[in-house]
Amino acid sequence: MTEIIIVQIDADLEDIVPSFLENRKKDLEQIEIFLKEKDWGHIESIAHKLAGNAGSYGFNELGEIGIKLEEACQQAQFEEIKKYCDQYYQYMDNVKVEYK
Amino acid sequence: MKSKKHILILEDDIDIIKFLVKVLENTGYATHYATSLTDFNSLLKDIGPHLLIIDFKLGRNTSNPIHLIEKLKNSSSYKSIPIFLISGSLNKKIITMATQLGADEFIPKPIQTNIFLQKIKKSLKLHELPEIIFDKPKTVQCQSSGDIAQISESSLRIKGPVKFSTGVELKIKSSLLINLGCQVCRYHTQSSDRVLGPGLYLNEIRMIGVKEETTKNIRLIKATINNK
Repeated sequence: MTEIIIVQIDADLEDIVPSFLENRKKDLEQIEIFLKEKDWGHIESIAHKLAGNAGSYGFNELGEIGIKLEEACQQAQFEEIKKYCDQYYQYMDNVKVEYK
Repeated sequence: MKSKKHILILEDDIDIIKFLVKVLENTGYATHYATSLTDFNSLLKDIGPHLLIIDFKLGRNTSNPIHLIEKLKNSSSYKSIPIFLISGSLNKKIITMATQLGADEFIPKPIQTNIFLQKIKKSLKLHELPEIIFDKPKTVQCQSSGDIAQISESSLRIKGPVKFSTGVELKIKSSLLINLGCQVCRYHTQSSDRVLGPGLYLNEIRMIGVKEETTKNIRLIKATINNK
């Protein structure tokens, strides 16, 4: 059974969080294509942005995935890239936002 | 009431832009953003911002903004604008270089909102220009168009976008006044007696040095209108 990830976000950001999460889903669609093409450069670019923006919104764990994915891309470690991409998918499938 | 401080952002990540706009506008700043250097340069010129926020890594194929910072800090128009550099990479070499070139702050991503806003506030306060109050008000000259709404033998009422103080000497170019023979007349504002709408005023102007011939012409206009 997968565990739901509850993230508490500042209520001031309530109206911009839905579009942030929508854009992450678009990231994942792109990652799927880039993984098939073994285009680490583009995945690195997505991961770099994720590393910076997710934590700013309050999705710290997602930001950590972004940092690790970016590092894995820089070193072209396929297994690691795959691992962190999977973590990204799982996170997005299970995240639930609560505004504080 | 103090006017809002304008902050210009150069960033290519739309989610970071939305985040910055949100937290800055919630704090009372006016924000503007560009996702390319071309748009940034154009906004910089148009807005004249109080502070700049520049993303260090602007797109995969774009060069780092070190050259931009260098250019801004060497420009007489922009060198006093504080620059905040934001980046996800904490490369010490780059931070030192950016600071040496004149970047005022380095903000790491993820952005810690409270610390970030404190630094913005502090920097804006530090760079605030003092208000200058003149003992004797400075005279300004302006040129504007307006419509003659009313004329008598000794005064005019002009509808236009400028609200004049009393006793200001005006130069009026008008074919109507030339036809009436007012070439030698002088015009002084008497009062701005009515606000007609946003940015539209009715100013009463006293005509000085009106010749008998001119007053006769004005009377003739009046008679013509009244007879219609």
